[in-house]
Amino acid sequence: MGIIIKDLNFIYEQNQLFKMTNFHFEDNTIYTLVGPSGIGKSTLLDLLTGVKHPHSGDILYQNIHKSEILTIFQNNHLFPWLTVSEALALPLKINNVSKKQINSRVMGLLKTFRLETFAHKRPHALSGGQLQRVAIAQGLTLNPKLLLLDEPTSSLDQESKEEIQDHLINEQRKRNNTMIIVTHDIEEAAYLGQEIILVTNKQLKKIVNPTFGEKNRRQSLDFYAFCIQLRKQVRQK
Amino acid sequence: MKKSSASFFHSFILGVLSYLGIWTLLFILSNNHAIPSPITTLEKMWEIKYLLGLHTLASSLRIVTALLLATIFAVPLGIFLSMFPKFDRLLSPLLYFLYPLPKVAFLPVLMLFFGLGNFSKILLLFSIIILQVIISVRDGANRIPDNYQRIMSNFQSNTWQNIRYLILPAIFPNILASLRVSIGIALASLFFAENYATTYGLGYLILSAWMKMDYPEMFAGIFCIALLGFLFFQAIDALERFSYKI
Repeated sequence: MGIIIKDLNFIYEQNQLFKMTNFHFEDNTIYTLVGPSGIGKSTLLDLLTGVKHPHSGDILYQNIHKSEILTIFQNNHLFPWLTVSEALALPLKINNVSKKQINSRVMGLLKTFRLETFAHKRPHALSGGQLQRVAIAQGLTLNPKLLLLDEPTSSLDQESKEEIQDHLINEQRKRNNTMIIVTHDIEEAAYLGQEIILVTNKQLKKIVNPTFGEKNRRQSLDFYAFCIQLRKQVRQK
Repeated sequence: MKKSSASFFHSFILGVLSYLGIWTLLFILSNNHAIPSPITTLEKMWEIKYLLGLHTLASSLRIVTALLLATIFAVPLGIFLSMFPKFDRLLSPLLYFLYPLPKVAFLPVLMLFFGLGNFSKILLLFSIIILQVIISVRDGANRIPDNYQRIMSNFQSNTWQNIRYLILPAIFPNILASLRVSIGIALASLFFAENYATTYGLGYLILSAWMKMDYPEMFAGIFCIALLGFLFFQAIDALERFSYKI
């Protein structure tokens, strides 16, 4: 069991966002977090990373150290003065990784995320999809055990979205880490999430994704039937 | 590198030609011996080239030393004020009081305390530049988006790493902008400072030529100050381009 939430109570600007008893996130799983805007999806990520603190209750981590948690933010915030390869090297430099290892890891990520041709470009010269790929690759440089992603594909076109989604699934399989992905896109939630977490009535509700792992899901009727069912559930709340 | 050399050359030619153009126009319009023709002045410059070089070198060394010292002290202080708002609230009122003061007025006091030599002149330039850079660095550091700070915390960075990888690169344009402004003020103040207790420096050369009513020599000195300003500005532009390459 990776993360255990116990009796969490969180109030933001006099609105109670969370009042839940117990909830747990398993290891090596992709979770997608869905729910209406303003319900507290991003706040939950802040609570998990410790940026915000619950008014009462606990968040307990098992097998995960705080330094192994990483967030990829909603609007990728790459430093404008760094090139793509420098941006990928930054987390490694901060964590005192040797130069040789930095070079090999950066080269590996540039290749995996098809960024080799942009290695020496700065963020202003990249498209939205390329920026997002860099942000995700940067988040993966340190091989985090828990990766939190806040709307990783918002404002991207469908092709770039699908590319990023496939990258995320592949990387999770390779690394066996846990990903918690906030999204407002139901199709994305259904495609990425092994388990979908519905934020509702100040609580979290788990929905197991029966279509996860199926081949060519984007062409499958079952997948779209599940999306419709999921959309209904989100709207009902 | 070839491209930047060409750009420097174009910029230099354009600057010199427009400077000479305005000068020639003034020479024709004024028809007064106080404004000599550019040709006479250039001839004079060639004639006293070694002396001019010596005066220019003396002025350059004073300016460069003051710029370097002011940057070395101002950057950490500006970052410190931005990182510790309590100290900023305590020190900023003093900075705002000192900033508009005409520092050249303190030259006699500086000479009294620190002697007639180079030290008091460099200190004067230092006092003019440092406040500008401190305020610029502090404001630049305060304007760094919170999200950037969140990214650094995300990677578990410590304070030194925040300064090294976030604050310094983010405020670098602010440092250069404040140095650009400072160079103009420092050159103007240097002219004043070099009028006292020195025999080397463009300020001294211009004033002594004026006293001798040797206007071509005076204009040769003025032209050298303009050249010096141009070279300093180009050096800062080159530093900016270089920083974007590394």
